[in-house]
Order: sequence, then C-alpha cells, then structure tokens
Amino acid sequence: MSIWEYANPKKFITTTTPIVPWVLGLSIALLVVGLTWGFFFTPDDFRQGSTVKIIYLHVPAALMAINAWFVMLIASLIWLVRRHHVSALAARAAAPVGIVMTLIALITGAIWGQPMWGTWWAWDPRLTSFLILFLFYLGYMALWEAIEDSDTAADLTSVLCIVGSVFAVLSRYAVNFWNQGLHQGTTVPVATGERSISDIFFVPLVMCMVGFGLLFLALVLMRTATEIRARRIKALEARMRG
Amino acid sequence: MNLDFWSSFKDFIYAIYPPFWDAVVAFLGKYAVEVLSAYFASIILLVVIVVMSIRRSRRVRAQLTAVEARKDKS
Repeated sequence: MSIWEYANPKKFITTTTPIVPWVLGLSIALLVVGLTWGFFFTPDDFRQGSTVKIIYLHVPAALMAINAWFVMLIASLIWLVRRHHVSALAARAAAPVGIVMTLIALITGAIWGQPMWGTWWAWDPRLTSFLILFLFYLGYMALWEAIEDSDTAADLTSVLCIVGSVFAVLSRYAVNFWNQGLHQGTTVPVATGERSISDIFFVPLVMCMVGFGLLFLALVLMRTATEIRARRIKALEARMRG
Repeated sequence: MNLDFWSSFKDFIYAIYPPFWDAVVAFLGKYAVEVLSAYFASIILLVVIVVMSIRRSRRVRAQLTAVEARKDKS
C-alpha cells in the first residue's frame, strides 16, 4: 500500500470522512481541558501577572500559523511535481485555517504586548515577518479565487506558496537571525530541548498545542473533502451543459 | 489613548454586570481586561472557522447529491 493511493479523491474521502469527527472531538476536548487548566489552575507569573495566561492561545496559534504554511508548501510541491489534484486542494483548504491561526497570534500578541512592552505593535523582525505571512495568506486565498481555471490557479498559488515560505521561516527564526527587537526567543526550542518555562505552565501549554494541531488536521481534512466535492460538482455541471 | 480605550472597555463590562467584573478582577488582577479580550477574540475566531467549515461541508455535500440526482435523471 502506498501513500499515493490517497491522491485518489474517492479513496481520500472514504478514508478521511469517518476519522474527521473523532479528530475534531479530540481536539475540542484537549482545547477545553488545556485552556480551562491554563486559565483557572495555573498561577500568575511573577513579572507578567495574569497576562501569562495568554500563552495558551498565542504560542499554539503562532506555531500552527507557521506549520500550516509548511503543510501548504509540501502540498504545493507535491502538486507541482506529481500533479495530484488532492494535494493542490489540500493546500487550498489549509489556507483559511492558517490565516485564522495567524490572526489569533497577531491579536493575542498585540493584547499581550500592550501591558508588557507598552505598545500594541512594534516593527520588530518577528512581528513584521508574521504580518507579512498574514498578507501572504490573504494573497494566496485571493489568487485561488481570482483564477477560473483550477489547474492554473493551483500552479500560480504553488509558486506563491514557495515564495511565502521565506516569511514562514523568518517568522520562526527572525529572533535568532537578527538577535534584536522586543519579542523574546523560542520558549520551547525543539532542537535543544532546553525550555525556559516551568512545568506548571508547560503541561497545559502542550495540551493546547496538541489541541490546536489536531483542530488544524480535522479542519483541513474536512475542507479538502469539501473542495473535492465542489470540484466534482463543477465537472458534472460542465458535462451536463456540454 | 491606550489607557482611554481600556478604561472605557472596563467601564462597559462593569456596566453590564458589576458582580461579574468584581469576581474577574479578584481572580485576574489588573490585567483582567487584556486576558479576557485575548480569550474572547481567539475563541470567537476558532468557533467561526469551525462552524463555517462544517456548514460549507454540509452545503456542498447536499449540492453534490442534488447534481448527481439530476445527472442520473437526464
């Protein structure tokens, strides 16, 4: 059995449809537990006070905003190399979810920044690259809508996705590259494992990160199946007209 | 200007139901509005994307069934 079998739209839908409610349910359960735990049962930070509770939304959303773009990048490369329609539609399906994650990261970041930095916004490398990533998401979605022929749209959006990946990388590593600005470095560096956060905050944070990840997965699977069906409707209507 | 915005926002919440606001401030301290706003905005956005995805999925599925039925008739 090969992974490319799932590039068959019918196989994709029959495989993912029964899974989606479970993944969605699990993600909602994890988010409810993680956010409730973080909000009600973790102490205030000695410097940041209760604003530390924003971490349970800000960090997972920012993580998923960047990862969503990388998922779109992989799907776009698969489209460009192997011409599987499901991968192009998966990239399209991931964009609205990614933009919501980016928006949450930007909004919660601004709300957190105001009392801690004394400003809602600063042209800091990480914040700026995140804003550009948000604009790339908008451009990506607009390009899909603007082009009638879906294969041409998939080609052009794939190229845009490759270009935008520069800003997805910058969003994650801008602090390391420039070593300046208001934003702190990574709280949970996966490479070194030396996290600068106590277990009291870390456990609910991981729960929220997994919850956001599973929510993204469930929504992308559901939206990809919807895109496949919408494409089939277009094809059937064209056939009936002709 | 920033302070004015938060003050009016706090006044607005306080006016809706004062005991709620007193309890929130007792729990979250002076950053209550900031924390609540972040949670409120994020949860609203998450609910919107989930509801929109489910609604569109159902609508497109129903449309496909209708189109396939039409195709079978013709």
